[in-house]
Amino acid sequence: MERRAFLRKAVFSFFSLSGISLGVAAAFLYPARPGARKEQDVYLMDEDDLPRRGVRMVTFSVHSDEHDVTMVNRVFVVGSPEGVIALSPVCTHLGCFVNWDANRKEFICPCHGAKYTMRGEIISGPQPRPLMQLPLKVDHGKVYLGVKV
Amino acid sequence: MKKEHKTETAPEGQALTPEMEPKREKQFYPDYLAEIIFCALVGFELLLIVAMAWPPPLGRVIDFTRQFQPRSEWYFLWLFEVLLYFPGRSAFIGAVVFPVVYFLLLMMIPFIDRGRNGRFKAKIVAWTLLGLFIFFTALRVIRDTWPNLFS
Amino acid sequence: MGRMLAWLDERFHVIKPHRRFLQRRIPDGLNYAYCFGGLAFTFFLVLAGTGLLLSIYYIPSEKEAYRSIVMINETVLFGWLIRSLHKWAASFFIVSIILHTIRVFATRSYRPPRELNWMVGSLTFLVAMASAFTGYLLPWDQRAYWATEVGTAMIQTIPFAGDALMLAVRGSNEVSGATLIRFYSIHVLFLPLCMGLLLWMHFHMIKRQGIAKRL
Repeated sequence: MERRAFLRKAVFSFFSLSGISLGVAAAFLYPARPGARKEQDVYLMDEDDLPRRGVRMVTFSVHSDEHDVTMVNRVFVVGSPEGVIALSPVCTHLGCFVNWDANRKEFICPCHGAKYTMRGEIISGPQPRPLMQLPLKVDHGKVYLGVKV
Repeated sequence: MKKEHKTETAPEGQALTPEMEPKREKQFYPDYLAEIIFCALVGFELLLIVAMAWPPPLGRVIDFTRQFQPRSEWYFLWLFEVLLYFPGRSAFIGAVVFPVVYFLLLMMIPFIDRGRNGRFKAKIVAWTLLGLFIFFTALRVIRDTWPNLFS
Repeated sequence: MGRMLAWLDERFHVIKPHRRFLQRRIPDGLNYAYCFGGLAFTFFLVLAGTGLLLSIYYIPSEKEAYRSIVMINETVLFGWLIRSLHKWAASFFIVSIILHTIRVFATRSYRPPRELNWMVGSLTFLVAMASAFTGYLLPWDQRAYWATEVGTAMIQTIPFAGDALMLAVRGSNEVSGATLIRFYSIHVLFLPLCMGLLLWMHFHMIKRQGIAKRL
């Protein structure tokens, strides 16, 4: 009788220990500080070069201190009567980079054909949201882009 | 190891019909094993020829400033194509529900083939699964080859 | 040779317990459609062998992955061939698995008691696809990056848990060096281990149950 109770306890603790181990393993695999991204101002261009009308693709490089890598990235600077905005090239569908089609005056994603207007609003396609706007700051005639690194 | 070789000869003047051929029991060793090894060798040689004839080219270095048209391996093209039909929030169905249901159906085929019309049901499921794979792959290939066909 | 084998067999004790299996009668009517399973296993062995070789030169780091592939391709003796074999064997492997699946379905060989083996086989297929997906990122070039970006973004579409799951897969917000090392580890350690286990089950069941008789 005693032996049976002991065995039952042993089996129970074996399974609970396995469960806990799996939980610890899952926690271990989860990235350590995924949300830790600081916004960083990156110099884009001089204020005089901002497009009044139309879309310009601007490339810039950001240095990530944590990973010690420099990444060259791109952003679309859009000028129109409503003002100048910076649009992230990341398609909101599945993260491909959209391209500017100057003839059709729309952004087209090469992956699944999502289309956006010049100001990033949805025209057609599978994307759930408009293109993301990135903050632009002007300081002493220089334009800075707020990028999360 | 005891092999049962029954040697029979056809009566003279008669052709050896299949029924009269010596009936010999096929064993795993050495008969079947030899066939497996033969297949494996042929398969490997075929692979070697293809690998030597068409080595995969080096890709371009990652560059966010350059336009790029992503393309997956041929065996993922169908999933890539399916994503097209689920816009906005429903993307979840194309991206996750469809592949999961597809796989579960595949795995459950022995359990679909139960009862009276089991084989029939299983056939429908299996051919649908294979058909979906081929259909969407073909669509994607067509779309990539002639980009302006659908627009 | 024979004496050495006998010496070994006296220690490992393999032949006698397997005699029933080795001498088993093979059912009539098998044709060359039955070879795809064996072919798939052949290509798996090629993948394992070439994969082991490639892992000697490949460096799973954001900065060096691409360069190490260039080195394998251009400097290492027969490097291009090993890489080409690995790449092509993956395609051949998947084609063989599909054809094998079709054959097993056509001959209805999945009926009890072989239904569990069908399920194990399906899981093998899943692990093969996962290996192909994780391996695709490793060259760390444009194709690899964008295919993985789209592939992992698919997970993000899951309601509520999507973001957390995607982070767990990528190891960071975007596909990055963290993703590369994650995928490398999954590709060379986790999945081959799963595959080995599954294949052992697959073959063990065939050994115990025999090849299904043709209908």
